Order: sequence, then structure tokens, then C-alpha cells
Amino acid sequence: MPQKVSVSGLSIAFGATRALERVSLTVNDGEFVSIVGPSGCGKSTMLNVIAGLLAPAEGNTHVAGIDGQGAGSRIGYMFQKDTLLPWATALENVCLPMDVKGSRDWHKARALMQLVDLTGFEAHYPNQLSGGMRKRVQLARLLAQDPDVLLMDEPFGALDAQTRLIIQEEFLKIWERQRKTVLFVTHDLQEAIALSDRVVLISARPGRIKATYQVDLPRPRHIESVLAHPRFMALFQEIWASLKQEVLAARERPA
Amino acid sequence: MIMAKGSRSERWVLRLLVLGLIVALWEGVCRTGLASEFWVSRPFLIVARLWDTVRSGTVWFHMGVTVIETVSGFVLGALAGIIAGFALARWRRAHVALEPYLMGVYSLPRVALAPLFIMWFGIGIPSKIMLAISIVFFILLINTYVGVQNVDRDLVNSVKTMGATPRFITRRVVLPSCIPWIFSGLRISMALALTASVVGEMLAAQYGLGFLLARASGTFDTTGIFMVLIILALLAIGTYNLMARLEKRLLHWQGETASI
Repeated sequence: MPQKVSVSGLSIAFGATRALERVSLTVNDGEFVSIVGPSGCGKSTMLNVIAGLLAPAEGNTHVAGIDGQGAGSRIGYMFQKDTLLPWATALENVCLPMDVKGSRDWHKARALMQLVDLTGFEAHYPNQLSGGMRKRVQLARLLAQDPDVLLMDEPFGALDAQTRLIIQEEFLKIWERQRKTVLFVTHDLQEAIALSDRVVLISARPGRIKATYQVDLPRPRHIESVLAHPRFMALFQEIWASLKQEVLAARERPA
Repeated sequence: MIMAKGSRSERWVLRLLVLGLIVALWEGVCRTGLASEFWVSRPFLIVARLWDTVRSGTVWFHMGVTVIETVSGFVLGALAGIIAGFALARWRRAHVALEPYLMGVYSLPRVALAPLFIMWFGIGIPSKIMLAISIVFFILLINTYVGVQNVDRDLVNSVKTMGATPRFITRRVVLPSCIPWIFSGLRISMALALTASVVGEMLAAQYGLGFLLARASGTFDTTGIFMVLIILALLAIGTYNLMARLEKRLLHWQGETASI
């Protein structure tokens, strides 16, 4: 299978703090990979480097066959924080990536709004929408960009538990239809297992890849049935045992 | 708990009641001899004078002069300030080099520049416009600069990951996010531009509301002073509401803004 994202020997430091150390990782075309690890292990930093927002101290990245920092619009990035433009309507926000490319397609934007179940909210401004709706607009915007690779940094982290389950379910459904390559950072191990093909565990700082787990649950998946699957529970216990050590190790270290 | 705001007519009845109370008290205090008409004038005298000047047309002329000074100073000062603010945010070197001097002039009470401007630009309209510019310019400069500095980095980054050019980011992210800052500067500036014009006119002028004020004061004409003050108050409320309405239109995505 062709590699879509490859990271080799990546090291990053902020002053004297080593955030990541010699991390190498490849993501295949159409693969959904989650990265879990304790807070401050450099998960988000890694995404920023892959997206070209940060330059690495060492190592290099390839995205969709493009070297290093030039992958630009091939990448769709979804942040935990709301990054909708507050002065633009939901529909205008969805159009934004198309505006960047210089070809606005209202028809496509409306279709995406329908895909995320927000028909009727096109003219609403972000402050008139709930947290879950804003997240869905961001999802539509991400899809409007039609990138080769989706980088997602705790995209559902700020939602309340119920809304999160619903959005995860919707996202899973859309993803299983489109099968884009995804690199997904999360704190939530359940989320990581339920959505991914592979879970990568990063150690406490300096972040190294500690282990990789293949998630061999059948697709298409449904969140509720996945959470009750015996294989899911076995994986959860196995990964959590290892992750817990890192979380405890990270706690003992000064920030 | 949220207090009900009441109906529109109810609000105006309450407000007129307050006005009636003040007028009655003022008039009563003078009529009963508790206060001298010479020092505090009397509502009926003021209204009569206002009516006379409005009918004879002189008030329109003086008001026009003040409005021209205020609006010109406001528009020119704001434009220059906004452009300078963006320039300063764009070229860090310029900001580093100029900051102490800008802060120095900004901290100076700008009306103190009036004598200099009157010397340079004469007692006519230009010196008042310059005075208004000197105040408005710095407020907009600083507000615009701070606005650019406060652009949400995450918004910029997210648009950057879509492959946007710096030009696109400026137009679609930086500019709109500065607008609330610019507007708060404009709102303060409007009132201060009026202050600058009136103060300038009081110091040296042949026309304008400030000139009327100074002349009335020089002839111990309390009624004249109050008349001008009422016109100024109406003018200030009018411009404030105009700005609030404009702001509401341009910043409708933000929700409600305060208005009088």
C-alpha cells in the first residue's frame, strides 16, 4: 500500500525542553492512525511539524509525496479549538478552503452542509451555533478542502460527552465512506481505538514511540457496538496498562 | 435574573418624566428666588433663546462650522491612524524605533497643542481640524496596532494550513478581526474630535459652537452658554448613535452592542 505520510527521525526541542526524540512513523493511504500519549509528550507538536507550521530540529517529513514543509493544501488540519471565522456565516466558512484555491462552489458547500446534517443553518454565524454544530461546520470545511491527509488534533476534545459520541459516530460514518488518510491525536483512548486502524502510543517527555497497536475490529463500525466488543475491551486494557505508566511518569516530571 | 426591559413607549414615558422633573425643579428654584437667574439661567429662557437662534439661522452656521471641523478631523485622523497602525504592525523595526516617541506624544494632553496649531494654521477651520487629527490619529493607531497583535493565531494557522497566501490571510482573517478594535477607537475618537474642535474654537475663532460659548461666557450670558451646551449634547448623542448603528451593521456577527 502506498505511504501517504512518512516521518523519519523527527526531533523537536523548545529551548532546553526536548519535546520529541527521533520519532519515525508512516501512515498508509486510507489508513486511520491515532496517536495517544500523556499531556505534553509532543503529540500536537508532531502534527504542527507535519502541517508545516513548525520546522523540526532534526528529521524530515513527507506528505503525499511532497517533501517537508511544502505539502500545504494537501493537508487538512482540524484543531481542538474552534477555528471558524466568527465574522463569516457557516456556509461562508465551509467555502473558505475553496476561496483559498480561488474557486468557490456554492453547490458543493451546500451539499457538505447537508452531509453534516446542518441544512437550514447556512446563514448562521458561529456564535449562533452550539459547540457540536460548530464542530460539524468545521468538519464540512475540512471536507470542502478535499485534502489528501487529515490531521486532527483532539478535534472533539472540547465537546460534552454526549455530543462527542454523536459527532464521533457521524464522523466515523463519513470517514468510512471517503477513506481519507487520517492522523488523529487524542487524549481519549476509547476514541482512539473505536475510530482507528492503528494506535500509536507516545511516551512521556521526551516523546518517543513506545508501542504500536493494530486495531483489528471489523468495519463498518458503530460506536455503541464497538465499545461493547470483546476485542475492544482487550485492546483497551492492553494499551491503557502501558499508557498509564507514561501518564504517571509525566506527572512526576516538572512541566 | 434578567430584568424585563419594558416596552418602547414605557421607556420613553419614564425618560420624559425625568426630564420634566429636572425642568420643573430648575424653573422652580429660579422662580422662588432660591437661585439667581443670572448664574443658572432658566429652562424657559434657554428654550426661547434656542428657538430664536434656530429661526434666525445663525445657530446652523456655527453648528456647521463645528461639524465640518469635527468630521474632517475625525475622518482624516482615523484614516491616517488606521494606516499607520497596520504599517507599524507590519514593520516591526519601525515599531521598535518609534514606540517611545509615539507613546510620548500619546501621553501628552493633546489640547495643549492648540496654541501651537493656532499659531501655525491660523484662527480658522484648519487649526481645529489639526487639533482633532492629533487626538484621533493616535487612538486609532494604537487600537489598530493592538488589534493586529491580538489576531487569534489559531485562526491564522488554520487558514494557513489550507494553503492561503499572506495576502489572503490579511484580507480574510487579520482585517475583519481588527474591526472591533478599530470601532472601539472610532467611538471614543468621535467624542474627542468634537471636544478638540470646541476647545480650539474657545481659544481662538470667529465661528463655531466653541466660539459662541466663549462669547456668551465673556458677556456673562448664562442662557447663551446653556443653549450651546444643549446643542453640543444633542450633537454628541446624535453622532454616538450613528456610530453605534454603523457598528451594529458591520459587527452583526458579534451580537449586541450598547447604544443610548
